[in-house]
Amino acid sequence: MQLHISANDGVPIYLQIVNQVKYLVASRRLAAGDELPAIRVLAERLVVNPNTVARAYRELEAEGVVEKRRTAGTYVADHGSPLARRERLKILTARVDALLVEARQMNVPFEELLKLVHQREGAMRSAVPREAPHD
Amino acid sequence: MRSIPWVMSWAMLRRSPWGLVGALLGANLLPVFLLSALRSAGGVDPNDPAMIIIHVVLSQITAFVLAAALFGSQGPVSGLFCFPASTATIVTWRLLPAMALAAAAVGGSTLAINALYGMDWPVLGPALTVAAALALVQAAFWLTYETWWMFVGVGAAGALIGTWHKAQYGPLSAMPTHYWRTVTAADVAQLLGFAALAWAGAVIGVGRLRRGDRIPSLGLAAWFLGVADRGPLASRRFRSGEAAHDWCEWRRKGWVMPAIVLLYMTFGVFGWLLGDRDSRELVNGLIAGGGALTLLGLLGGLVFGVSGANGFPIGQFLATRPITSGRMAWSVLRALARSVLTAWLIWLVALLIALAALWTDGFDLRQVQPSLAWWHFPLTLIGPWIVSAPIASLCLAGSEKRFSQTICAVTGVLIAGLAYGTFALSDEARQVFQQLSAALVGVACLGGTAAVTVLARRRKLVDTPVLIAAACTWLLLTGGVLLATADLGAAWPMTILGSGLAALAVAPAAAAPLALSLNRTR
Amino acid sequence: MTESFPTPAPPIVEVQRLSRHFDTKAALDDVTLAIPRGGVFGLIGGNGAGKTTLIKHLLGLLRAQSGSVRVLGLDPVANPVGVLGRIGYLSEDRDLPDWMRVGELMNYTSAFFPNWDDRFAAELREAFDLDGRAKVKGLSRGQRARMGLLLALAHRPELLVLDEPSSGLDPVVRRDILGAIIRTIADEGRTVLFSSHLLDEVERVADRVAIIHQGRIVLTASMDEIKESHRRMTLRFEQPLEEAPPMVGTLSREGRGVEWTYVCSGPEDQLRLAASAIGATVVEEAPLTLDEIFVSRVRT
Repeated sequence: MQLHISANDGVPIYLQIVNQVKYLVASRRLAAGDELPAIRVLAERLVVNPNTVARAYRELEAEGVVEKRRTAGTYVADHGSPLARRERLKILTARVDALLVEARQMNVPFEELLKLVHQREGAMRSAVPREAPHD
Repeated sequence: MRSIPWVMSWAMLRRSPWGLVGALLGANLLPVFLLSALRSAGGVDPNDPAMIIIHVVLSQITAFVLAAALFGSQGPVSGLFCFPASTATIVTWRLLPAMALAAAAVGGSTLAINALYGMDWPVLGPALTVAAALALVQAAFWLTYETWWMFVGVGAAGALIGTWHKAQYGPLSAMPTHYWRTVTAADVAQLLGFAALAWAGAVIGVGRLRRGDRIPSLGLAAWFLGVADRGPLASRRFRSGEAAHDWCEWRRKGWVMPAIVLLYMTFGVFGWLLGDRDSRELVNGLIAGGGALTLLGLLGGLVFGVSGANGFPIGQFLATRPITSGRMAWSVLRALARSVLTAWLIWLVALLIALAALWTDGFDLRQVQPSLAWWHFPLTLIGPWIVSAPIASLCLAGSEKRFSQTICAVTGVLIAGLAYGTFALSDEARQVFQQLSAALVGVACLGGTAAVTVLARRRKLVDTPVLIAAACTWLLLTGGVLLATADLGAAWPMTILGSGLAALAVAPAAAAPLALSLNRTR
Repeated sequence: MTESFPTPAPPIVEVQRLSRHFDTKAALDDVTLAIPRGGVFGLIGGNGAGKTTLIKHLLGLLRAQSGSVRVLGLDPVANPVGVLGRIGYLSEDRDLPDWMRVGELMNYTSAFFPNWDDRFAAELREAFDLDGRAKVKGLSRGQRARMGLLLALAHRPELLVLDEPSSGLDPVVRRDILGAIIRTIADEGRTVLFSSHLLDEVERVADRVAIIHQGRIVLTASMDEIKESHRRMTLRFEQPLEEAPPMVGTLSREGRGVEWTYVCSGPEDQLRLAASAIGATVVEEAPLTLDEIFVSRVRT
């Protein structure tokens, strides 16, 4: 699991971790049942505060992206569960709204935006880009 | 006006103007004091041959003090290496203003003394000599900078010009016979030769420093340091922080006093072997050397009292060791005591050997030193301690300013008192004055010790057992003083003085912890 | 690991109304600060802001002229052994006894600390590539910092105090130091206090931050609170303006014409209300780096 943290763009570090893990899961570089590194290990590797990593893991767990098992490990959750699915749709709705607002402000017609979405989806399928999108 | 010579001269004067003024005054203090004393003791005869040697020695001391001050006020030459100036330019304008100023200062001082005391001391010769001396010593310094050869190089340059200077007053191996009245063309040529030699050497030396080259080395110093480094200490474990700090103090500073004693003794024995090898001379020299141990205490006190990497302040590393200030100060005192004792034992062993030689030669110590009393021997041990331990305590307080102020005040009072007693009083009044001063100094020492002890007690820096032990030691020493003064038939003020000095021997037990705690927590 | 602040445990450092003057200049002015046990506390401020003066008070190197200082519940001036024996300290000037060898210095230091862990010290010496026979004087700047760090860490102190640990060091050594900070707090209950002006490092590792400026604490909060309560908002006005109108919660503002950027602190909805109150709409909003927050706090 390769994450890249930057303290220079203002996005809180825990959020960077959350976003990048979500992205890795969405792009299937992390599959359901994969184990995430222990908090200490990831903290030392990324050179960030362990509490920050712990907070990111908590957020991810709350959103149903990962799940804690009794044997202290954190694993990528099974995506099929309907509850998680509803949650995810809720998050996505907010994102789509934001995207639509920005497209309108930039004078990008809806059809063009849709084409762009298709295009990006294809790109993600074929070669997984390294750069994680921030919101 | 913005030229290299101008800014370099300006920097020399601006760096520490008061230091230069102080050096000028300080350099003239000794001649003025000496001549004043001579004048009041019965007038100075400018034609007295003894005055010639006084002049030679005084002018060399004056030159040394002034040159050292100028040298110090120029700062390290490496600060100039980044400027777009050739090494020759740097050297020229480093040397010339300092040489001119040194010559002017020495000439001016001599003129002032001539005017004040009606002397007719030569002006031009010594002034020119000091300029050449400054250049030579500077060149030797730069040529050997940051190597062990520095001591040799600077010493040799100073000895060369000093000898040459003395040779102008008569044959080299005898007392000076006449003044250096006229500076001949040959003299000037020789001095110019020295200056040219110094300039060339300085250009080579500064060039070396500027390039960062090392001077060719025989590897002797490196070999010696390597041997010294193979010490057994790297893996030693300490019982406690205190033990570790004992090791630290002793390892870093303990060797200085014994090493100096050993060095002087080696020189002395060599000189004796080269000379007439009279065992009486050897014993006399060693007895005198025992007194000189007390002077060595001045240096020892400074060495042990200055703790930090940057001088008097203790530094954050030592200050943050988890150990009380009292214990750390006691570590310093223990190492100092050990150092004094070692130096004294070296001297004692040498003396015993010399006494054995004296005995085999069929002489008796009483014949050689008729005035020697029993208390001389303990005094050679206690003397260096009484000097070094209070000085170390004073330094441990961590303020260079406070230290120099105290030293200046004490010296000033001493000089003023001496001058007053010598010049202003009749013989009878002087006697009373001297006794009174002795008693006063004794009382001051006793009072100071008491005050320091009370302060240290208030800060819980001195335990009761230490206090009792110190009091007992003081009583013991005072008992010794009583015996000695009775022996000498000295008056009661001397007993008070002796008792006060005995208090100085135990005062550091409270003063050093107090000073260190002030240094540590500001 | 402590997960939320403030913790119920008593703070490891408690400074009450501390003031300190050097000659006439106030180095610390009525500073009150509590550092909770556990976690990383970042003390940030410009050069000469008073960071080192504050830290020296915690170590008992300066006596409080007014106010009080408690470290681990003790007065560091009255009880240097009790306090310093439980602190690991890396000084800003990296003051070490130059004449000792690395091995000797480790031995010497270990004697002062009953908790000194020889195996850990040896591990660190290996990891930091320090030669036991090397003279301290001959160490490079980075190696010297590592040496100081080793001495501060090897007795596993309850409180690790690092004064400007990264200044003047290369990225490799800086990473060693940050790694040490992270490992230290990963152990239960241990606390790190470090001062810095490299704010991206502080942002990475600190839980809590205090900003000190001209001897005063300007802001103390958890990193999350700070990040969440500060934002940059770009406002669009109806008419081009010569001077942007003041707004509640603004720390600084710049721009020209119809668009102005405000750096503000406060809850988002209140700021939006404030923006509409001065007749502007929010066209862009972004989080701020600690660097930007610091600059805008200190400039005002």
